[in-house]
Amino acid sequence: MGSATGPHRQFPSGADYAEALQHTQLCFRHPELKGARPELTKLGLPRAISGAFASVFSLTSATSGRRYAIKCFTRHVPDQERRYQAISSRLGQLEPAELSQPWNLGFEYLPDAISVGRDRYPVLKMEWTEAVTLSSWLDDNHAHRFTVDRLADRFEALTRDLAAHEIAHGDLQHGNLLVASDDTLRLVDYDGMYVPALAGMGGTERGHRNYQSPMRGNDDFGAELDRFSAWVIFLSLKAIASDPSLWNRLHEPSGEFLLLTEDDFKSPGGSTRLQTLLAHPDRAVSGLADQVRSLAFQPLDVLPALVQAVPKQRTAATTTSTVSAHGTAAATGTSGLPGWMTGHVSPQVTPTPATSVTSPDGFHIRKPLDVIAAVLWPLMFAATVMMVVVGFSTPPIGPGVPLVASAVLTAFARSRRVERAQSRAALAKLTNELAQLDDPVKAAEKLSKERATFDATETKRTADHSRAQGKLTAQYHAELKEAEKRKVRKQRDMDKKIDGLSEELRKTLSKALTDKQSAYVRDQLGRRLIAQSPPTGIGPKLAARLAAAGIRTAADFTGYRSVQNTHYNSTGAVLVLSSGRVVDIQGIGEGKAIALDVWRKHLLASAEARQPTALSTSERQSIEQGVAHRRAQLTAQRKAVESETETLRVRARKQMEDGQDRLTRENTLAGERARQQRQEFGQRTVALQQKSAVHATLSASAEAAKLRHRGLSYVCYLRFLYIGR
Amino acid sequence: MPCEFLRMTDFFAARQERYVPYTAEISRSNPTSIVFLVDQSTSMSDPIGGEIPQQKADVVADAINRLLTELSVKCAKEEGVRDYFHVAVIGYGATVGSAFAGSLAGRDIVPLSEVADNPARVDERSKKVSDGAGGLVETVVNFPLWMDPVAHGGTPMNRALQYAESLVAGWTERYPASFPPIVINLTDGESTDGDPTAAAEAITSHATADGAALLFNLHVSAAGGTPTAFPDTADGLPDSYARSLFAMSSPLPSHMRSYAASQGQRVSETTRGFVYNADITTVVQFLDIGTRATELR
Repeated sequence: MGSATGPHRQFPSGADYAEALQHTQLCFRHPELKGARPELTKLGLPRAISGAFASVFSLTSATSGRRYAIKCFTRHVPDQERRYQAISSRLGQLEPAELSQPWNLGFEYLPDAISVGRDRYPVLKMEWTEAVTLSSWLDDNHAHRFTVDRLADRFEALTRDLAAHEIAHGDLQHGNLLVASDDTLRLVDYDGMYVPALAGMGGTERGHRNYQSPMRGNDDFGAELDRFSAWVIFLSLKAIASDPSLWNRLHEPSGEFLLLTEDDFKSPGGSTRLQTLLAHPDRAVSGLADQVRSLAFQPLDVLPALVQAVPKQRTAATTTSTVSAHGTAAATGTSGLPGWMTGHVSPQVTPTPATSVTSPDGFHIRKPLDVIAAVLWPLMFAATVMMVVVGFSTPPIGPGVPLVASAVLTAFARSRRVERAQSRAALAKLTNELAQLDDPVKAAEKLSKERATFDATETKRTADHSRAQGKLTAQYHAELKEAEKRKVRKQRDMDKKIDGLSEELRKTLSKALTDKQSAYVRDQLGRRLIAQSPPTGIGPKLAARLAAAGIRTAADFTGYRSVQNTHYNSTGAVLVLSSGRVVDIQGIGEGKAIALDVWRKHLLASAEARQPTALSTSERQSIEQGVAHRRAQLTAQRKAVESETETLRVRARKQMEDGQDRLTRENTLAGERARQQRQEFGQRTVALQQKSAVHATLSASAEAAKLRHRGLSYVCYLRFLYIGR
Repeated sequence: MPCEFLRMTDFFAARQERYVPYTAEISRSNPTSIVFLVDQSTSMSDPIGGEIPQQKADVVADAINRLLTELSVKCAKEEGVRDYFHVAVIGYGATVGSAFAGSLAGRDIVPLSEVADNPARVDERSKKVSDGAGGLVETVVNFPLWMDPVAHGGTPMNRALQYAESLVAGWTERYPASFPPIVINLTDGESTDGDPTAAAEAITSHATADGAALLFNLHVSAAGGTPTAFPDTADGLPDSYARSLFAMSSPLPSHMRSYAASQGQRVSETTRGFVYNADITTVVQFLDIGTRATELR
């Protein structure tokens, strides 16, 4: 940040430049810029892109047809020319083939290039690049995981290029990183760039606050300037690549940041954004977030470069990105472990279903009983035939009797075969085992239902958490606002009183003077005894009468009033005492009263002419001190209001911070519970998969057993009797 | 390690600092509003002091039009003008209300991006510029206009300030954390509808968390003479009217003070946003200082 104060040269404003650029034929001397065509707004004014200390305009050269970005400065920047020359020459030495991508743009510092008003000012003439800012690129591309992931790697390669040449950009952020149409990066705005030739000079800016370490100071300027912002950007890109929904969840539309802001670095505990990343199921994301969190509290020069950390990070990121490619499918539990559980659950050997009792696949090895049955059949058959032929037909014993007997014996012999029992036992065991297993389909349904409920609760909880945080902040702001209003009201009252003090001083001084003057006059009048210097027509007798009525000096009366004497029908007079009372004195008629009044007025005029016209220094000082004391009191009270307000502010802040701490604690606890719950779900998913495998095997065995059991039928037994299998 | 420890303590020390009002960063989510109150009474057709005599109403309208262009350029980014500011221009004379002409006519507080895109018209003005060879040539420049000069009626400053107060009240409710609204009153005469002090106090009793609303007053010269700019005391002001305008004006926040100082103004800690007897250059400079923003993000 350049200082706005001081004896530096004044620069034109953005609008001044926009006006001058309406006539490029006149304002430029440079052959390529003279007569160049500026890009215009729809009002027909040159279109500006303004920053803190410059406005940039797009101009197309009339001679070469090339398009340039012309940076016009609105503020003084110390050592501007020297800086740009050093940066330009360093960037000029870079071999394009050695760079990961063509990120650097050529520029030229032109002193005295543009004429505005009566003076000429420098401009920076830069190559124009067709590219969009990182933030608007992410608006369009955040859903394309692979593309974002590739951009993250390209960004890492870009920081490697910078580090390899000991260059630091100084203000890496979403507005200075542009993405070209081939998805490679361009770096713009080199004002705060560090190159080795500038070592020992101070920085000109502190960089965008949402990308800087809380530890970055005004004077930090060196090759490691970008490290913190590089981590922040890399984390953001990798996180979006892993989970595109983060862009909509953590980034605010038109927010001047990617996923994290200054506040997140400064107080990680109270930051929902950082907590979301720290608790992210993808360990690559949570690991990077943890890294950023810890880097925020380390001095800039000990921060690791992205370069050193990436190889390891990279493999991790690649593995997870392959995993997460199937991530969603895996989570529902069709194959393998969900991605995030890798490493959390030790792979178990699926127990094979117990098949110790196998059912026989037929009859084997004839026993004596079988032989008897086998022999019996032909004998009995022959006996029957003979009986029919001989005509030996006794009614109770029909010709079928022998056959029936052999059939019965055969059935008996079959029932004595061990295979039958074995088969039945195996079948029963399988059926029993199957019955003991829950239906895996139903169990899966149950699990997914529970999961959905849990997810809904979690979503609500997260929303509630940020709502509660918002409420705290709003409350804090409301309290500050109230405190501020109260302060303004009180101070305004004090100010009024303070402003009124000058008037008060003036009034008090003038009153003191008036008092002093009237005291003097009174004193002077009091010194003139009527008896000693009597006015015309007042003899000693009258003087004595006057004295008897309390009128001895000119100070004792203030005038006279004419009265009508009713009984003589003539005009008389009464004298008015200083107290306002009137006295009628024998011998004092209107004529004498007038004489007395004239005498007094004459004395009064001469006393007034001699009265003091100013207060003495000490009198004045004493009054002024009184007012000064009052002023000091009021000023102190005014200050006290300031500190009262500060106390209120501090209290409000404390309340908010306590509230935030509480919320964070609650959130951490709930987060821990949620993690355990998720883990349990994971374990159940695995168990379910195993179970369903067992279920399938058992069902298959049961089917096979049933099939084999059918192979032990009567007919099969008859066949076994003669064939032996 | 010792170095790290030092830096950590610095960091925590910095966090303990007292809160200084009027330091809120202006952003699109925490924008600020600027309300111009423009005297349109009949006397505004009198000439203003300065090198070339011009009608006061013309000078004030030109200054505001120019300032709106300036703000638009200052807030222009890649995608267009950003709404760091929302602006109202209220005229008071025969009536009190929006002084915007053209498509914004009748509107109160308008986001800057909309202001930037909707001037009433773009005039062509002739201007002499350096020809690069030591001479001057006459050229024509485009000059967008949002308001026209008007000079008709009395000076209902009281009502104008009440109008501004309602805007300020609404704004501080909506954006309690933002830089507080700035009201700039440009006038040349005494209020004809009563003492404006109470209405002025009502404006500055509204506050956001960053401080109370600001009210700056500019008295446009009728007679010429040296302006009294940014005074810190009412002493030396010619009459009670000037003193009451001074008393109504807010002290300049520190960033405006240092900007004023960099522009060659003499300022002190208690300097107020008030100019008496302003000439043409001072009108422009006053608006420039009074609308100077804290950091824009």
